[in-house]
Amino acid sequence: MSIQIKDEFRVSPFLVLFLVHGTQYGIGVLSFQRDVASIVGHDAWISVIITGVILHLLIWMMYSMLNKDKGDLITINQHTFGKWIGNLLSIFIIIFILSHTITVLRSYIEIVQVWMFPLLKTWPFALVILLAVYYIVTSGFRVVTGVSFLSVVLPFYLVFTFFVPIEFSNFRNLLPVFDHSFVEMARSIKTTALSFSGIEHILFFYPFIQKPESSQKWAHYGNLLTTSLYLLIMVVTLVFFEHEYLNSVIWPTLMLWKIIELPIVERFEIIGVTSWAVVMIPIICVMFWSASRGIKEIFKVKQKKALVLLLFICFMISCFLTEREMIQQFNKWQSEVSFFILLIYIPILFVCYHIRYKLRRKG
Amino acid sequence: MIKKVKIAAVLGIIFSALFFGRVPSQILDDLNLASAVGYDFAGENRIKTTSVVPVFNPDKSVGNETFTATDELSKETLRKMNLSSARRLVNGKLEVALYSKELAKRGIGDLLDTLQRDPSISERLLVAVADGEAEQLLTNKYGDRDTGVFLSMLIDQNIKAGLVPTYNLHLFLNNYYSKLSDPFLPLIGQKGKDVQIKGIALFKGDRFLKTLHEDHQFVFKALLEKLKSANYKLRLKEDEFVVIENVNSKHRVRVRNGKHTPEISIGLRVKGIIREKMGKTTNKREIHYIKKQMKKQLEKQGTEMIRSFQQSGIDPLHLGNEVRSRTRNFNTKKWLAQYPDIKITIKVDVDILEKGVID
Amino acid sequence: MRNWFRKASVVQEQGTLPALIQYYKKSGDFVHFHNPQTPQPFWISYFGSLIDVEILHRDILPYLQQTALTSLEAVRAALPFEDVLITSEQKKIEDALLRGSVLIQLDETASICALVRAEMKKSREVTIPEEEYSVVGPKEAFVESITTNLNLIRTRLPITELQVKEFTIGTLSKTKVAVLFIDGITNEENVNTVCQRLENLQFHQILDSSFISQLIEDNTISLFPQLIDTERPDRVAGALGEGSVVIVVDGSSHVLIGPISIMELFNAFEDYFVNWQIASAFRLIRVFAVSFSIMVTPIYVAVLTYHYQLIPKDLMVTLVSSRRNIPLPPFLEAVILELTIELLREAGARLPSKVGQTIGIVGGIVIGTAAVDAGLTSNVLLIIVALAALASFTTPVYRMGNTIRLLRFPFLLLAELWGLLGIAIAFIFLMNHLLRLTSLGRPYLEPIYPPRWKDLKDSFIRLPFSKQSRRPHFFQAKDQIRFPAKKVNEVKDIDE
Repeated sequence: MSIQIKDEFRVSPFLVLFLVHGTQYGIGVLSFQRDVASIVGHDAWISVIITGVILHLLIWMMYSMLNKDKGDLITINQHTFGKWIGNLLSIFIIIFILSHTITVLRSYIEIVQVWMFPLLKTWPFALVILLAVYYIVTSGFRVVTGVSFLSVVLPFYLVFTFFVPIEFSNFRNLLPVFDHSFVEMARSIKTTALSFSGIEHILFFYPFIQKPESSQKWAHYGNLLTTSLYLLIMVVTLVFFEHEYLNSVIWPTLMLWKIIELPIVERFEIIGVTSWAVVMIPIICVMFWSASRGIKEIFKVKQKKALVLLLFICFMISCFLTEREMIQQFNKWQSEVSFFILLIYIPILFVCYHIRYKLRRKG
Repeated sequence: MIKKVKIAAVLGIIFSALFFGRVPSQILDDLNLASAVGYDFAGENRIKTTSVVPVFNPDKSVGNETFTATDELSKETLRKMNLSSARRLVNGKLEVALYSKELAKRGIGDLLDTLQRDPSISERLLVAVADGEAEQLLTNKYGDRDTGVFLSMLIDQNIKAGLVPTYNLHLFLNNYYSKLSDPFLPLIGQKGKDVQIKGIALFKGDRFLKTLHEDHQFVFKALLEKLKSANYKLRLKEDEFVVIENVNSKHRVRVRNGKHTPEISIGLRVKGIIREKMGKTTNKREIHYIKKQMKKQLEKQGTEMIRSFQQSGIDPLHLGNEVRSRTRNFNTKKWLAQYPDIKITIKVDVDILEKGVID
Repeated sequence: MRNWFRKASVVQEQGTLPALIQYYKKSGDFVHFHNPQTPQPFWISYFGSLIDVEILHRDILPYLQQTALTSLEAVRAALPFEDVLITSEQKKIEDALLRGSVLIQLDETASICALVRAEMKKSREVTIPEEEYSVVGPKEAFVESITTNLNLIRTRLPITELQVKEFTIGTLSKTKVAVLFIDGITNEENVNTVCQRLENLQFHQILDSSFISQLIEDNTISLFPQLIDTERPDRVAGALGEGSVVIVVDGSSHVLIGPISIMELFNAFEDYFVNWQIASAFRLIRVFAVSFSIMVTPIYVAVLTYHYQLIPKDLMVTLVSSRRNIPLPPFLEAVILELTIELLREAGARLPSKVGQTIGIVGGIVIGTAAVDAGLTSNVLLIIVALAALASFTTPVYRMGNTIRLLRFPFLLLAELWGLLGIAIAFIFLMNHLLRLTSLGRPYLEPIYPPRWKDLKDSFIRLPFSKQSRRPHFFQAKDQIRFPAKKVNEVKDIDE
């Protein structure tokens, strides 16, 4: 039943922190504030906290399944829904992950095109990034984890930059606390789903962790780190922008950087966008790794071949998304699907799996 | 075999990146880095744009060059100015944007769009209103730097140590977008050959409304932020003055009955040092008198200023936001209707800390 | 393999020892003579270029001439040598002859003979280290002789656990290679990896230890050295004590140490001779200098080509006015200047040291000033490139300096292509390459990744010796404890 991975390919449990945080904290950070704040205004930070708590719950659910199954998403789906339906669901998830990589890659290229090089062609740049991804993913899960680790640790200095805009902020903007209804809160949580998604990859890399049961707390810490960073950015955004102004800004985080002026560097947002290339890489890598791993298990093909196929699809679709409106629409769908997978699919799977598990034990 | 395919693929990617991935370069010395831009009214829906470009000489001195063009859209004027520029004119290093008073009276909302939309323009850009023609103000050269940097240093210096409240493009836009508050800008004008800050221009929405009275500048800045080091001239008698220096201040807003008819009371605490005084010595009684006079004068100036804001229906002091942040289910429309009539009081506390080295 | 020797042995297979000698005689430096006058006649043969004639005259011939040589056993008894070999195996005879032995026969036709070692020992004196010179600390450096080198190491580690495994590698050079490790400390896996790789090695000539390191490295395409070569015996002894494996190669004054992590390349052994705070500061400076050296010219190119907004307004005057009359775009300007510096360095390295210094001064000052005056380069870039070149010399491992020199160019190219973003992408590739790299199967980027906090005590910084009671986890040493950790003293109050 369970999947056995050779010990030399496994990583130590505490690196799960970086895997979880690294995959969550990505392209959403640059733009998530507006969508939330357009619904709940200055209470947006509360809905960030609520989403964080919900995600902790989801992590707990996933671990309770994985600890019993000792496998990954594919085996869990098979055990719960039978081989055919289970595999079909897994394929859906893999397609979702693939489209998520497209969202991340294309959104990043869009940011580069808007903020740095308006005339940058999408395809050569995407090719180079995907070449890096191929190089990383083919090096194996240890290296993918290493990239997540370094991509979290090295650009961590960016956290300090979020304190600079406070000089021009008005903390009165946060008051009065909890001025919105529960319905509005619930609706705003939906918009954060895309920025917070990433924890679902635990379902794929679980067998690659040494003593995987002990990694649960690190997954929680990872999510905690993400939530606190989102909270920090959200609070700074809310005090930095007047509510009406925020509604017209597409990338509030980049606007936060724009105000930073150091003695050696003016216009910090260029450094920020550049650093974000490093921040974004592990997300794409982990996603491609999970997706190709899933294909390998379902169809019993070589992971390298699956990876090449996925990279090719990602490349083609990214090149077809040319306009801002198209990208935005794509991101919107992705957000809806993320919401569905995280907050509906995983809880349902959780319930079904445990019912099946009990039944099987009795039988 | 597979290895060869791989090497070919990698080489292909490198090749295509090098040949198709190129982006047009903006080499520093091939650019004309505009440091200031000025907008003038040039007939209905037409604007005249003036750009100031520093000329860097090899001996490290800096000169000045200006370009002018007229069109409906400001980006289009950029293209027209490029027609007469040997190096490409770019806006990435803009320090100052000036709007002529006439233009500002008609509204600058559409012109602000270009400053916001262009990612290369700094959020710290200093916007100002030119008293008179912006073009004329910009074509003159002041000081040892180019006009743009000179103006930004001038305004910056007056923000740090003078009576211009802290502001930049970002804070201006915050006020401009907010329904509850209105923006303000410094007013810059020429005085003979020099340029000087003439006061504060108050806006209603995107339109210039009036200039802040000179006497109100101190209290205006004190009610917006904490003063760190400012000067205050106090009139004691008909022709007896005293200058209070290094003034620190703190203010605190209290709102009562925010839901229905808000009452606002502002407490202002001012601390300073006597630096120059006419007339008698500064004994204890005299200082007590100065404190009392200063309190009276500040309260009078503050009340007058706020009254005039209420009459014009503008709120550059963010009083609306203060009320909103203290009221659940705040109703913006109701507040805006109530604003001219609500009761706003100012209470000032004055401390004189030192009086210099003589008594 | 060993084609050269195959040919030789074809001749030998049919022939006996006399036939063999006939074959050797074709070589002009082979000496074969017969001494009929002594009590018993004997034949002596050797390669004149390999043996020490003084030994022959002083320690062999007199004894042979004085004694009655009834048998080869008598020869062995007569000679004042502890290891006179008596054999008829042709392979052994050949090996011994080629290593400088004297062959003694009592009967010219017999195939059995005695072999006495009389090799010429030529070796320089032990001198002071040149590449890894340090002001404080011992001043001995390795020389080209393996025996001297082993002696230098063993005198620093006079323990029986220090073991030496010998190999002979190279079909032509027959180089002696010794693998050293401390039994009970060094992880056998590391020793086995090294031995395995050395055994599988097929090469014709091993002329220096760098041949070995290039041949047995984990990733031969990589620019980064995966084994350190050092000329300091103290560094080798220190490495052995930590649990690494050491490879000593005959004829090379550099000894290889492995496995290593990247931080090892920033550590000079001098760091252990000075205060730990000072050592830590120096290490951080080196890390900074290396990243500065790689990044600074690409950043200059990126900012001047694409990101003029980044330049602060006060710096603008300096930058623009220095670049005003330069005909070349920043990229070409930088490449030309970088190449000039490489040129100077290469010329300096090829010339004798005194002329080299002159070249450095001529190049640095005269060409630099002239280039700026002529308006070919901006003086800002000249400062930057010179600083970058200077910074690349801070790394204590010479081969790392070469890596840095070369690593700058891909960065430069990508900076020209996509500005700062290109640098970020180059960085991603570099990061991934380093993550992928291993040294003798151990992760190269340790202790950064996999993160091992305890190993940080001797990486970016060096904590005091009292905190180093355990060996770094990196080497997976069998015995983790170096010395018993000091017990925590009770906190004393003032004047107690």
